[in-house]
Amino acid sequence: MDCIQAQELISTALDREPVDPQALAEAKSHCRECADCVRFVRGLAALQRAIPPEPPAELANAAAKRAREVVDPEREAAAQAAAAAAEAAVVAEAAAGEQPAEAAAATAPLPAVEITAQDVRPKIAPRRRTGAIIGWAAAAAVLVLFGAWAAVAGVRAIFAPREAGAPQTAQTERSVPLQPGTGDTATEGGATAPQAQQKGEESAGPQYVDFDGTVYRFQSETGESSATAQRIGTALTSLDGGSAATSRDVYGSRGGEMILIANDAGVMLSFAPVTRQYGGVTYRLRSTAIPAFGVWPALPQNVAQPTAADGSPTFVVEADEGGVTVYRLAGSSAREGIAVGPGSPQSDPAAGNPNWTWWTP
Amino acid sequence: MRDREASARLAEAARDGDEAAFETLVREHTPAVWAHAMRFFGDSSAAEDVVQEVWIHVYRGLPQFQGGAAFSTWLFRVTRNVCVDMLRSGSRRPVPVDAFERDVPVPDESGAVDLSASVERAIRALAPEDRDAFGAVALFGLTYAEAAESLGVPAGTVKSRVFRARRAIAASLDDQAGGA
Ligand SMILES: [Zn+2]
Repeated sequence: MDCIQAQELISTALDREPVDPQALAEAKSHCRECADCVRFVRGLAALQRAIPPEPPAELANAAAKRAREVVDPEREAAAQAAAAAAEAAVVAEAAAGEQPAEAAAATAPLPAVEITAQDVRPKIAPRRRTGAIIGWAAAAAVLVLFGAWAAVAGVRAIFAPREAGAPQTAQTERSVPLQPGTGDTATEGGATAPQAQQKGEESAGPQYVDFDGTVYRFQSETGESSATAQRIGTALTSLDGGSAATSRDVYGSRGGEMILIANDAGVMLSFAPVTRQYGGVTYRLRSTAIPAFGVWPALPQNVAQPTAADGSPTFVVEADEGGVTVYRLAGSSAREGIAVGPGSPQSDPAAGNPNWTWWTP
Repeated sequence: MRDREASARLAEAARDGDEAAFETLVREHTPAVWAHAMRFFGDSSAAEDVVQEVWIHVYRGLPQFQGGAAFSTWLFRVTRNVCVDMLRSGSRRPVPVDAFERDVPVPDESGAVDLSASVERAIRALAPEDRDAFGAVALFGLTYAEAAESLGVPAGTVKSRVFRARRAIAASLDDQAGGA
């Protein structure tokens, strides 16, 4: 065993990573006799004794207080905005309602904003003071004791007999990555049942965000870093179905079409545009704001809401493609954009959406 | 810092609205966040901003916390990202290593002052990737596998970087260790 091998084994054991006990015994034996390695071990012992920089005494309490001051109002505002949007949607629905009431009740899921009201409600319960606040002095005492123990236990432990083969169970647990929302349940066409959301369950709607009015669907976590990606704008999204929407930086991906957004855990998430093919052209789904996962895309502000189930007076039928009726704006061409009504089949990119959707080339 | 399971339970309690649990979590983990920020920026004012920003991110993200042993991994990622973002935005710049000494804390144990200052100087002089790996493991208590996942490199690379960091620090401390 050479010096580097011996020292690396000592270093690995110090991190409580699994090492071969026989090899560690050899490394220790080597490091007791080799002058270079004796110096390495002496340096490690000094490193263990050193005390890392300590924060000012009141910083932690101040930081906790400040975090609540910043985030609690965000949550309350989001809940209020969602409630207000739900009310507005109910009013708009009543005003627009030309569909026979029983037909609407039988076929139409709740409007998207109503789903929002269910899902945007903060999951953090009202705070409760337990009175069990541990004083800073006590915490500091624990830290000092831990530090003292670490200095004694760290390097010396490695050189003590019988410790080499200690089981590593607590240290080898796999971490659980923080997923956006409730997992990638929005598969084909985001076709998860809005009814589940009406019952107030976890958001099962599509994991969509909007960026510059275009709708993107969550794809996966990526290993990309914001340090290397190109920032191209911001998107307002909670990146889940339950917390307040915040403005987040959007990065372009190397592929070009995809966008990247970092979640609160700092993990970069990739999103792909939601598209459909019509007449040999790719159309992208456009929408009003989508502040949370589970919110269905709706017609952008500049496209009037039809008042009838046949799309009138806004739309006229353009074509019937594979069981999906494609509409265009009355007095315009499909090159300006196409629309699809609620209730498109499972295979369609707009499946499950209770709203009219708008797509542009 | 308490053991990992206790931290995860605290984070779950904080997620479920226990205010005292959140405060305890912040108190117990702020030293690691602070030390990482000090080693990154070498400046206590920047480190205060980092600590503040990290806990805002964590509190905001708590509803997404899924429990388990992931809290330290998450905290390390957030801390690292906050530091990198502050650097990228130009709001904070690292203080050169020479000027860093004035901001090194002063532990009360006699003889420990010089040693701690030397350690911090040596850590700040490390290559950033070695310092990150060393911090993930030594400050935040991550396993090599967890650090690897956070840093986007293989676990073997984490092991090498931590070892390289220790060798460099140990070499610079050897003289002091002889007299201590
Ligand atoms: Zn040797």
